[in-house]
Amino acid sequence: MRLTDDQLLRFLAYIAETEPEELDCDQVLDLLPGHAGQDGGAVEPSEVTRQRVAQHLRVCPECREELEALMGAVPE
Amino acid sequence: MQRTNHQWLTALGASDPDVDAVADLVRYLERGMARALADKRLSGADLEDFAQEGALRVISRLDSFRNESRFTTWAMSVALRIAFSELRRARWKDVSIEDLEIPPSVASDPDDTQSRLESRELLNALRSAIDSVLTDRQRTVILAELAGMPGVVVADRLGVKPNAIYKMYHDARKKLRTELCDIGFCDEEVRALLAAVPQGE
Repeated sequence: MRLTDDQLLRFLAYIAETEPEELDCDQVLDLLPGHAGQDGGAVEPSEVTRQRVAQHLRVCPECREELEALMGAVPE
Repeated sequence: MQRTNHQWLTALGASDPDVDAVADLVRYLERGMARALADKRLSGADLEDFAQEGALRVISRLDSFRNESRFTTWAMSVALRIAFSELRRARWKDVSIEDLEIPPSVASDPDDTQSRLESRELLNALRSAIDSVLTDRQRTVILAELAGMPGVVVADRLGVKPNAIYKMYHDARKKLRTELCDIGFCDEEVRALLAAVPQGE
């Protein structure tokens, strides 16, 4: 399977978003519900946490897909 | 089945979890996944399997619930990851990780605009960096990522945990970012060039 220049270009955007320290997918899994904007928790995610989750979502299409599904699965 | 987070944790966290609470959780997960995964055309049996597996996983990792959302929202995120992992494995089962190739370099064209010329240079720099600064395993992970192969599938093929794939992917991106910046393509230049490339090129 030969990759395309479009795929290289998309990846370049991820390189430009790379941070020295990033959350991994397992860490984001536990933080995603707070990021989805659902209330009902006893603790509010910190701004730093929100930013780190947002950064991970910019470079991880799989977690983005899961966040979108989560928002569709959970009633308002 | 209205329960507070505390009530869910108490009912499910006992050494012998409350049967009604487990059944309510499975029903909740199944209904939510039916909505969220409607475009996947899953059978009722598949949804039921994912919901049951999801409930078991939730019960086994209650201690990682951070109480930053409704308990049921967190439980849904755990169950969805199970469902997506299985769906991604099925979708990519026939694609070999060994057969992925970087597209060849394209020579510049006399009619190229300045931005097109620069984007060609950037792409060639990326090709070169992938071949020169990454380990074989990092190169494999990056090519798989470029192809859109999910981390869980790459992990299965390489015999490692999905989180190890994310670490390799992250380390590889850091190396490539440093290499590209060293030759004049730092983040701002990359973003500017990407913004100047017409969609679909």
